[in-house]
Amino acid sequence: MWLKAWRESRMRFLATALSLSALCAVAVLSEPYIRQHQVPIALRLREGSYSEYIYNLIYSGMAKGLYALLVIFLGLGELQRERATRTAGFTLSLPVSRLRVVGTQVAVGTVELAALASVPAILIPALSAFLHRSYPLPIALHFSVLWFFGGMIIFAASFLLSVVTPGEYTAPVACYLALVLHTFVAAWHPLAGYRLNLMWVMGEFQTMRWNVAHTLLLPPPLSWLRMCVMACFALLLLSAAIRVTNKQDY
Amino acid sequence: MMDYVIETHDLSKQFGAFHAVSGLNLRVARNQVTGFLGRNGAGKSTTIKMLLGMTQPTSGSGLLLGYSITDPKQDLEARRQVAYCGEDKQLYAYMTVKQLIRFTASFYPDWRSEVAARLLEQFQLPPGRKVKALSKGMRTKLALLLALARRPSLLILDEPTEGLDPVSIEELLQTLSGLPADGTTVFFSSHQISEVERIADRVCIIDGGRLAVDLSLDEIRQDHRRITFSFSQQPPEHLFDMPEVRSIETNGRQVIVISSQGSDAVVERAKSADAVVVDVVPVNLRELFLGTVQDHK
Amino acid sequence: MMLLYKAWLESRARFLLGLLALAGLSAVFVLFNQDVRTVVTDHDMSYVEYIWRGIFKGQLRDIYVILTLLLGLGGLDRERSYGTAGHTLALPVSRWRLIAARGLTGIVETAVLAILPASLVPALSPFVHESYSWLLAFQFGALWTIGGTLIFAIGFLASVLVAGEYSAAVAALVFLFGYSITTDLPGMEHYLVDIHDVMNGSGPHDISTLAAISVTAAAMIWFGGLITSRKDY
Repeated sequence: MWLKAWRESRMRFLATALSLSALCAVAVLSEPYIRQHQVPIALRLREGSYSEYIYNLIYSGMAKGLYALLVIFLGLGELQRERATRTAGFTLSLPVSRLRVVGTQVAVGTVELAALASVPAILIPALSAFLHRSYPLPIALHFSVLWFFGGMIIFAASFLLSVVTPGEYTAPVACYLALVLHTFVAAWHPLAGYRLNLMWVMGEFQTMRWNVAHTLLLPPPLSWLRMCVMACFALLLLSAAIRVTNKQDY
Repeated sequence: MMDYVIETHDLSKQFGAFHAVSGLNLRVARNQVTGFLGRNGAGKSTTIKMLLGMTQPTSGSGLLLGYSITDPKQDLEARRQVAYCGEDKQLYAYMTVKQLIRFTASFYPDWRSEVAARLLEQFQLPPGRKVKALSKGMRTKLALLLALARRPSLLILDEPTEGLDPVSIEELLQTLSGLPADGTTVFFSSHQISEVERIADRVCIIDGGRLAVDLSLDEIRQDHRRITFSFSQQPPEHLFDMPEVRSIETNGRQVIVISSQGSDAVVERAKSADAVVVDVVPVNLRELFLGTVQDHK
Repeated sequence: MMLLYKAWLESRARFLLGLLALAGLSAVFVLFNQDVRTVVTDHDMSYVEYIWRGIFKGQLRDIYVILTLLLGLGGLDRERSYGTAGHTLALPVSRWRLIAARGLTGIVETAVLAILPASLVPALSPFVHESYSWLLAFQFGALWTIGGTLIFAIGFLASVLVAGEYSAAVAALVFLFGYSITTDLPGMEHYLVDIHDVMNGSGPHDISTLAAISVTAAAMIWFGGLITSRKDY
């Protein structure tokens, strides 16, 4: 079951991991060049510190957007898709419960999410050393944790939508639109104070602070309570997906 | 001169190192029912896909209703007169039965609405139901309806009775056997030898991508014999190396030979080696098929 | 005609979801502009600039880009997975006609999605005592349509080149991201056009550029068709 779940998702996972790695590598290794040549994506960052540059380009910028977008596709492709490709009969005839089938997919997806969220934390401090720069590992890990929990919610939402919507591409469209719409709901006055915008949370938007020497952008201490709430919400979505799958006819 | 709706010349298809079809020379006569037999993976579906232009041959050529199968334009012309019912009978899941009939009918100017309506009623297909909600048997019936309602010159069916209940199989076989009278040639692959034997005028057996048998049912009945010999000692190794011998099955001192073109020469040869003829009986299609594909020779 | 109908049935859920989202968000941007302004930017600006930053250059454009990319996906390779390719390919139509029907349907849907915000913004603005030029809105609608056609073509070609469920979507998204980054690199403006800038009017949008984009999109769809016409199913 593990092998099956891995084989089904590995192309998407590897493509995402490769593109995230490439983006991080280009951002770090081309930093002097990008800043010197006023590249549009880094226009604001010409004068800032290295940590500000990394933060704006990776943790609050393109890499985060790419991660969020591609995680949608990691959550897709469960038993509904197997029905469409006529393999659901074989899978469901195996002497395993549906819970195990779905649970394995979720578990493999979670491990893949953790690996993807760790990509910048591994690459950025390591590659920065090549340019005699430094990016603190604790800050990189801080964002990996945020990306992981944020990614879990996107993954769970996409998983649920692919269970309840027919058609191969309806679920990713619905999930992407849900991701966009939630930013508007989160910005609505009565809710604005709760910081419900997932993309803001993942990027520590408006909560980063300078250190005393004004050389390093620091995130606030990690709110484990918030992480727990995010994990619970993801679990809620996943359990809803499992519940629907258990009741579905194949 | 015999008129052929399908003619292939050294038709081959290779997938990497695997030879799915090797130098196939197949001819299917007009206004007949021809059964296309072979083991799983023998190359039946690949041959049909090449005939319909879904897969390009690696080498060789073919004609479908006189049109070249390797020329996309000619193949398109051929498809206007050919109806095809595929192996897995998968149809557009998002369409209703009625929508799919309307969709398919739009491509054929000589679509017979009255036939479609009759078959819809006969097959008890619900017009408003989505295809994805149909059972496999109902999907098969719908695929057959779409194939039969268009007055094709050639009907190609890949495992047509799969998924059908016995009553529907009976109805289908009756329908198929009557089609040549209306000018439709039927070419169908099947694993159900009894069905082929019931309705086919001619049988082609493909084995390892090559044509192994191309005979009419009458030729099989008249010319082929199953001869059982008993030897008092181990028979000589190459005793039955004769063009008339199609297959040999040895069981100790007993040898069963399937012969074509009569049995006299084979019996004479066996007697010369002190064999006792136990039995000479006509061959049925099952025995011929098994003798051909099991490579007992 | 029926091939267009088939292509429509295959893409309508994606298209209608996108239509609904773009219509709803356009309406929200216009009718609740006072509230949404704070999300779009933190400085004062005119209504016209706000619409540009929020819709024609902002989030709505990004949504449109993703939607058109996803509209391009599908085709005979996916049909093979579902087992329906046999029925489709046995129809008396050439593979080029199948490609053309899917391409045409997708481009029309892409255009409708582009025209929708361009129509809603000037139509709804009077309800909040604002005005927006119909001409300006339709200019953006035209730019979106041309840019969207290229993005549709990227999705279209990806679904021919990359097999596997959702792999084409991931490949197309990664390509689009890579393309956006590459166009931002110094010196690249001489060789590549940033399609996002063209769509929001800040990049080159003269006739020759727009023609070049359209030709590129057509070439990509043609290339996808060429591969499809030679594939075994």
